Amino acid sequence: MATTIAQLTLTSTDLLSDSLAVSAVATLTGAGSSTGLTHTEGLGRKTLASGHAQYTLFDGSSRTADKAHKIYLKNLSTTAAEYFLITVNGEDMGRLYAGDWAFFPWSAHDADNDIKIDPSANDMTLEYMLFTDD
Amino acid sequence: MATTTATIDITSADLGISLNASTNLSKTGASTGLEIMDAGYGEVTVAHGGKALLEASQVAGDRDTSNYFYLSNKETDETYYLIVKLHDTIVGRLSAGDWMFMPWNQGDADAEISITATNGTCAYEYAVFKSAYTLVDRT
Repeated sequence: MATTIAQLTLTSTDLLSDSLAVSAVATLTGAGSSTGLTHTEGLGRKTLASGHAQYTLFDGSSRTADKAHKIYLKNLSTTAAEYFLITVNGEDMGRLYAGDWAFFPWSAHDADNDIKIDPSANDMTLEYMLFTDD
Repeated sequence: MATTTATIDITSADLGISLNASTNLSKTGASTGLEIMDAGYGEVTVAHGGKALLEASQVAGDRDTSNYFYLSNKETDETYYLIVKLHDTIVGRLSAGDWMFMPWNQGDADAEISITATNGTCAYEYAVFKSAYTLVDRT
């Protein structure tokens, strides 16, 4: 068993009249258990060199359903207007703009529950990592 | 303009991981800081079934904007988890003590974020940071 800690901090001194300081710490464990996740894919990077089209980053059919997978993504672009559109099973999640990152659970609920990325421009690079109990 | 910073640290001595990433939450396609935030804390039970935590905007101009969504499952029993959906699509299971942070562009008016408790009562904490927000017409 491995112990992996994911910590989030959200801070701002001028968004509200009071300072914002949110901290959340998670120990990544298997589905419905306290056993730590033991497998990863990545850390890796993908650059879509020419032509931008939707690309399957993680294939739902290659994963066991309803596990406690976690996904980390980061858009390495430095051009503010460039984004990756993230979709789950064809449903838009959101646009990951330049410099932004995301971290979310992925249950690979069925074979169609692919995580796909669609870059808004050529030569954009995405950094990714999958934590899994498969 | 406000400066709001989101930072993630992932560490594991066992897996040899020490990852850090930080970003300032910005308006759509710009480097100007977001200025709109909504946050809260609540509880959802199995009896509730699926509940819309955040409705997608009914205002077309507010969709396809840069929103960031944070959710934390405050429970400690590992068998208590939240199923997080985008409309009818399951994103994943947020286990007890876990958190998530993701972009949310409200792909259409039905692209709400919903949560379903799978066991007992799950307490949760959430926040959404928005580029734009327009009040809908009253009924």
